[in-house]
Amino acid sequence: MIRRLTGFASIAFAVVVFACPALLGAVNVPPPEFEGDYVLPKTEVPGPRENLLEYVDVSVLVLALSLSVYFVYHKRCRKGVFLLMMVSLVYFGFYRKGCICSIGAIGNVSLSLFENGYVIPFLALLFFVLPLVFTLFFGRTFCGCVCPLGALQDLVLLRPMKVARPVESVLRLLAYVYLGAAVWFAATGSAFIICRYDPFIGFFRRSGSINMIVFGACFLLVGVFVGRPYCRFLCPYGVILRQLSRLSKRKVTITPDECVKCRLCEGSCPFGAIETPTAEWPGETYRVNKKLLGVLILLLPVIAAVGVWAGGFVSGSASRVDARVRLADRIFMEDAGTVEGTIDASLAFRASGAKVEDLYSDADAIKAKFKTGGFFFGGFVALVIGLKLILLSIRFKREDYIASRAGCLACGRCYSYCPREHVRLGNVASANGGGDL
Amino acid sequence: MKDNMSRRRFLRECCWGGALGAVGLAAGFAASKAAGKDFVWQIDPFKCISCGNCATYCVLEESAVKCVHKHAMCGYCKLCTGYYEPEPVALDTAAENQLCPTGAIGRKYVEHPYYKYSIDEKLCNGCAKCVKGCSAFGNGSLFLQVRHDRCLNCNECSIAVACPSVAFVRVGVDKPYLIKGQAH
Amino acid sequence: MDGITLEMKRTTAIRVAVIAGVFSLIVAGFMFVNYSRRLSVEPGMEKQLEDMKNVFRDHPDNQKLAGEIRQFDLEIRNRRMRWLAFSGKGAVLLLCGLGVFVGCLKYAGGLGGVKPVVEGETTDGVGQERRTILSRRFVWGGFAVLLLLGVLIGFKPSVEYVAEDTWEQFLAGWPTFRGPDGSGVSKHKDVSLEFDGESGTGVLWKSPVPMDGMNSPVLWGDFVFLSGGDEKKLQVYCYDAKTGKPVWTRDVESMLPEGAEVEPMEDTGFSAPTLAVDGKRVYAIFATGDVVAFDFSGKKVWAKFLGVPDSVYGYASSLAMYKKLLIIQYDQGADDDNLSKLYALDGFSGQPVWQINRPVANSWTSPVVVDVEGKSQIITCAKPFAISYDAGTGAELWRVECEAEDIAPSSVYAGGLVFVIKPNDEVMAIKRGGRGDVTKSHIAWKNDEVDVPDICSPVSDGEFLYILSSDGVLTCIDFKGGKVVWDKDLDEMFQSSPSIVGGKLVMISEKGNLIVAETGLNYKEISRSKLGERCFASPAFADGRMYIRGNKNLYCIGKKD
Repeated sequence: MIRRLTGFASIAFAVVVFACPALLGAVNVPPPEFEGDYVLPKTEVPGPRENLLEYVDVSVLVLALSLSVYFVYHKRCRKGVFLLMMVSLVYFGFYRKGCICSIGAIGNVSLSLFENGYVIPFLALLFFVLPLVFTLFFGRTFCGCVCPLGALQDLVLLRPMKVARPVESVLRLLAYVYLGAAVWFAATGSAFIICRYDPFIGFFRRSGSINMIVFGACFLLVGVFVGRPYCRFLCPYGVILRQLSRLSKRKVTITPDECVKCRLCEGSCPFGAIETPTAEWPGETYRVNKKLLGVLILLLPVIAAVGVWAGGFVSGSASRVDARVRLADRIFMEDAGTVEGTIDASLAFRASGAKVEDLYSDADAIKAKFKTGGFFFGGFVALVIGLKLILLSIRFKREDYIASRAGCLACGRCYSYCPREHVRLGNVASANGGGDL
Repeated sequence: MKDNMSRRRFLRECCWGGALGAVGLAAGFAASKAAGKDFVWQIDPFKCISCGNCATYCVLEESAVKCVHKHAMCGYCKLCTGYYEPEPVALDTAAENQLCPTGAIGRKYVEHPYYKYSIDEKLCNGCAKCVKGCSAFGNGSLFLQVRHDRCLNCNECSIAVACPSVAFVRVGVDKPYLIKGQAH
Repeated sequence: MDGITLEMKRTTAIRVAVIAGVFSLIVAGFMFVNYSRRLSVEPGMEKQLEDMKNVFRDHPDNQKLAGEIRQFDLEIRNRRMRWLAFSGKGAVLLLCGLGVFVGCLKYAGGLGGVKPVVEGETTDGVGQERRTILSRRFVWGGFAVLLLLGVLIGFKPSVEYVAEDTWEQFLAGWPTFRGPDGSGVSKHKDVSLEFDGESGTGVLWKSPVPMDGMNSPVLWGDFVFLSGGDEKKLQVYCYDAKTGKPVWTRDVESMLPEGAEVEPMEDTGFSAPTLAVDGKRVYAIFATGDVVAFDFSGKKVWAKFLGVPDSVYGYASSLAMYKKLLIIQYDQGADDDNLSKLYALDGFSGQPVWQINRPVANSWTSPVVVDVEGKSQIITCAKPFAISYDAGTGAELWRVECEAEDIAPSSVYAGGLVFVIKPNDEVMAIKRGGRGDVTKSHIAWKNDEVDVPDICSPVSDGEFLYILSSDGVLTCIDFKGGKVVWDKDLDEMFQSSPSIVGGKLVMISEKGNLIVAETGLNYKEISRSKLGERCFASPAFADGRMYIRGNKNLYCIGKKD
């Protein structure tokens, strides 16, 4: 036995020097045949969450969306909206820990559209599609009532401050860039950046990396003063909903019937979604604007082309988001001697016995995908900017105070500011005197 | 004027229909290869290099990845390289000889000369030190698995992102484990 | 309206909010302190425990220290459990606190009733126009910033991959023992084979080798590599192939554990295995179980210890290579000891790509990597099996029973046949293409009526097989039928293996006499040259040149340009 032991000890020593990965199927010590009545214990395998519960998730989503329509349009009731929001926050946020989520589903859908090997779970698909369909009919009631990320920000909004229109215009571009990048990276099968950088998921899970917690806390802190900063300036799903909401069958109206232009609702929207009546522009500017509009329309292809070029230019660096490209770069640099030492990933690759040529051709294929994606990404962002500039040069005529189709989150805050609403509710006796309240 | 309005509305309707169609088309295309079942994350134990990232990169404070023991593969060694430090001073259960930093592996005498090793999952932190020891010179009967009673099944698993050997894979919820020595 | 009640409600809500806020702050503070302490203290404690364990290993009798270790270990583990419990509960408490805080503030705010317009936007035309112009400018600005960012990020050029493939070059050179496929056959036709070591005629250069070693030179580009060593020191040498000047000499630090001893026979020595070189690095293995890789500038790239080898005469198998894999046949112990292994290590990192247990006893043969019908095989030979493996994966392809003691001659592959030698017993020829145990099905012929070598490996030109016994009997065997064509007593003792260069047989005896003979149906000696010192290593061949390691010097034979 002593001899055996020393033999083993030397083997054990070799382990230190020979830090090797799991060596496939190497049975070094044949399993014993017991003489006694020893029973082999079973390896426990606790199951995941029941698949059935996903139907519950979808049902809750549909119910919440339906209720949101009921509260926003039928009841015109902020309290109901708020309550629904809180229920959603608790269910989708704290109970389901923020995952499954419509925003993150953008990644799954993009990947499934572009990557043949990826199979999207129905749950993710439904969470992506249902709010879109509801938005086409009823506007962004998902944002205002159902989304747990929105709910959390809405909850902490205590001292709303106005964000100047120009600042808002430029900040909103970030959301388009984020959406473009999210689709770009997901479609290439590289990363789900929306999920990776979800600022609030740490709160939902009640744990997370300190960086993400601090990031989320900063967002919430800003959210005390600026209404829903993530929704307005970053949310990539919100960007899609914005555009669909422009076409929605129904839209939120501040007044239940007619606008009396009392200006009471003007400051009521913490999200800057109330559009004021337009005034006559000073004589000269109309002509100048018309000319500018023409120039911008002509310039649109140029702007788009610049975007396409920039997207292609940035794609090489962007492809490093992909782990396989990073690995190929690393292996190449290690082999060329431009970097010192090895990392876990390169060691694992080298120990796998895989061909470096395969790695390089994979990485090149991914880079090519990134390049194509980069053209689209750059073109998309530039086009958005161009169209934004054009929109800013078109003079829309408004006579009433209205909720912006795109920007309104259907939170129902403005209702109670409208004197007509109070008339409707019977709080005020006189139908005509409402404006003087 | 009225004509203008109705044209506008017609255009709107067209856009609306187009948008609905686009959403439907995208959804339909994705749905054509969607699966009714959900997917969960799991570690392919044959690709795992026991780097230790599982212990630190999980979004949970205490990782959802734990070491599991396939007893049927175990050699029941007296000197278990997954249990003992390299060059243990004595083959007992004293802390100074144990490899596991959390004391999560139990060692019990079965019959001469065999010892049974079992994992206390409450203590295991998924650091894979024992996995490394076992797979280097044992049978590899100790290996890491995502424990689905703990895993939140994040859309993008942060351990998967940090995994150097691409050992994290999505598996169907109906077969959520990749246990060594079992057909999948 | 009852304003007082409203006011009271408001104040109460605000008071509750303040309390909840303070509570949350305190909890957050505690959590932060706990977190930062965990970050700063715990790694230090783990390190300390590690140090204590190391000390304990050197003083296993120190019971006090053992107690301290146990205590400390327990403390670390308890701390971890406390932290987990605390952070879990803390997060819930903090969340509840913040919830109450925000809820109360919201409630208090809501009690204020509908607020009048505080800040509306200007509704006059000039104001709206100014806003629009400013918005446009901001958007332009945003575009510019995004472009700038894009250019800044995109400026790092992406890597153009070039997979360096030195395999062709490897196959054309002399990078391992007896050439790239271990056959001892050089592709070069015009190699100088006549010289006189004492007078220096025909010797391009001669350079002393500091330490003894049985290993043969290997070549790459302008470098010749050797190793040497004894029980105290192990060394790897690099020589300039043009001038013979030593380029570098490196000491190899053995990782042999304290107390473990390796005692190879004097005839084997500490550095019998020949090195391998792959265009980027040179690899060496010693009788101590140390494997080491140096790059061409002499920088150590990695080192591994394979465990103390259990070998009767001392470990002697040379290294082989398949593409980027370093192949090590690590045979030890008896065939039922389950100790023998075949390793394939990644050349760059030394990481094992695969390793296979071998059911064989300790042996002194070298693995050969050969191309059989387009697929590379690793052919090994030991008691009681000659086994062939797939070179890429290590999967076993076929095996043949080879029941013999002390196997040292390596197998060779030529013209569709694998030649296996059972020392002092018989020569076997095995047909290619078999799978599994082919002992009964694939043996082309056997011959046990010849002087079967016990050290020197055979060589074949595809027509005849030449075997050379250590007491100097050279036998030519018919390739197809296994019949002896001729034999000849060369009257010398041999340890090195014969080679074939440009259609000529080249053998160098222990005394250092290099015999060149014709291949073919009759034995005919062409020349006999004197090295002037003893020789145990097989020569290496390059274009026009031959490198011979004597027991004191390294010789380069060739014509001056």
